[in-house]
Amino acid sequence: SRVSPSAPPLPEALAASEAEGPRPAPCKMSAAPQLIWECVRKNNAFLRKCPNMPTMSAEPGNLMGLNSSKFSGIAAAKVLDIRSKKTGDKETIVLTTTHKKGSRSQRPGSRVLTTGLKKQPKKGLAQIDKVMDAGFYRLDLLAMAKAKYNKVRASFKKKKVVVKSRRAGK
Amino acid sequence: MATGRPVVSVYNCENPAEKTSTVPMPQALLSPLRPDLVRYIHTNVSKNKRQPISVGAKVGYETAAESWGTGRAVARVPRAPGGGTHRSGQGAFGNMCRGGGMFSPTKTWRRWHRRVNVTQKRHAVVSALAASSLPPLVMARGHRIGQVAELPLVVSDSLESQTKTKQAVEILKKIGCTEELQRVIDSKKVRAGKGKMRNRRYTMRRGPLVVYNEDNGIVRAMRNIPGVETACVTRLNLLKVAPGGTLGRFIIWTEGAFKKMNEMYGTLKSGAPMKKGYHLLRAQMENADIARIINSTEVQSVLRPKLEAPKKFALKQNALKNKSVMARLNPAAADAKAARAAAPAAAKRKAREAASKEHNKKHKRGEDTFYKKLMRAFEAKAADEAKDGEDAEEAEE
Repeated sequence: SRVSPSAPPLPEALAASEAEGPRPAPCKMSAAPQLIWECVRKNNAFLRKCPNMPTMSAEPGNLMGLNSSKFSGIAAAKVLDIRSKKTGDKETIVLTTTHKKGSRSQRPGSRVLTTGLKKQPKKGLAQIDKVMDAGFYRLDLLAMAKAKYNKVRASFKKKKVVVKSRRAGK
Repeated sequence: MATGRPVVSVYNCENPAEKTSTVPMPQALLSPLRPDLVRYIHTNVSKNKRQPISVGAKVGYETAAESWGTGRAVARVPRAPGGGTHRSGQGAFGNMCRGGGMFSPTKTWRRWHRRVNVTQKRHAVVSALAASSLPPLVMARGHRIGQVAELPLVVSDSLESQTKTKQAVEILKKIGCTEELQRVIDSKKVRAGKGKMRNRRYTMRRGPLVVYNEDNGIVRAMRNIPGVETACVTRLNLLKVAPGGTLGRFIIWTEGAFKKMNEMYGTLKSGAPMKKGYHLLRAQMENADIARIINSTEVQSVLRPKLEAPKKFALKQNALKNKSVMARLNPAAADAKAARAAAPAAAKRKAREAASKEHNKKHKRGEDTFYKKLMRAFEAKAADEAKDGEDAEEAEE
């Protein structure tokens, strides 16, 4: 039986260098996602704890904001996130994924790829499908990603709360 | 031995957008991550800079107190002698007495320092350095490295000969440390606790650690930048490389320093040339990515197919007694039963009604009902009495 999620591909430099035998010996960083998760799970700068709540995590790549290896934005092989981003006056919906190239994992700036999502639900959900379903990217999060997309869209429709003062207008 | 080591780009100091050359990653930076080791060694090594403190040796005992013994209606605690002052006769010496000494007074000859095995210390440093080249760990520690081009960050050697702080700051900012430096400056706060009155007034976060090979001015250039620390490669301190015992300090290397790491630590096979008798840390698992191992073709091809969980049967329920089970087996049973029950009942009812009607027809009372009988009897009696009355009247006349 398969275990999910699978690991990042070998860094490019390895593939480029002379391969010994059928598979180049994996002399890569000690960067196994599980190992990093173990180092980071109890103690990191993004942990947010409050009483009677599950432990949450504030890192930018975390779909649910929960501190768990499944959703982690720092210690996961493949990162997935959908959130809103304010660019100037407008708010956009942004999809975050890990870059396909293994070498990018060493570059903090380009470790993670952000693409915008259309705000039209039909198109936006189709985009998510294209990345996840067709691209076989984190299928275990597909349903949650779509749900979050809808929630983010819903959050854009802000109703102005009119507070009627009891004192005024009598 | 795999020589497929990843390669790190060196960024030009003057123009950090361009890469001048590449250096293969020193083996030391590929060491296994050992947070447990780093924490253990950090807790011990950080004890080594402590200065002894204790309460004064004579504190609490600088009275000529003596116990009054028994027979004086007071507790037997030693009491201050003399008279003419509040102090006289008050309890002294004991930890329970006001102005007495403490229980088990702290001594300066407490064991303040800890020795740690040299090899362990070296392993810890090497593990912490390896962690500093992993973006997840550096991010997790709280450094803002979003703008940094690559980890480990190696800058050309001209950084070592900077003399002016202003230029050093500019270079750091061009490299991508603006956010990081800003974070440190923003975090300056007055310390919570008594430390603020003990010459440790402010706390702030730790910024990048700049590791150099030769100090041609860099230390002095950088020493006044808040948060930035410098260290020479040959003398790396775990307390700087893993502050707080946590892995993942943001480290900026100069090219010379990065190359020196090879000379200092060597490879797994060779020893460490500059550290006598030291061999680099080996991993317990060469390939720690368990998910990948399990999903690999080598393993998957040899596994037997997944077993189905054994089917669990519920306790058997008797269809003849249990309506729902019967309904499941024979959906028509319920209707048939209802029909059966309904048919005789209806027939019986009809028969009863018919019989009752027959009986009523046969035994019609007509004038013979109870009430009519009763009234007839009454009327008869009333008529008799009336008649008797008339007779009596006639007889009188």
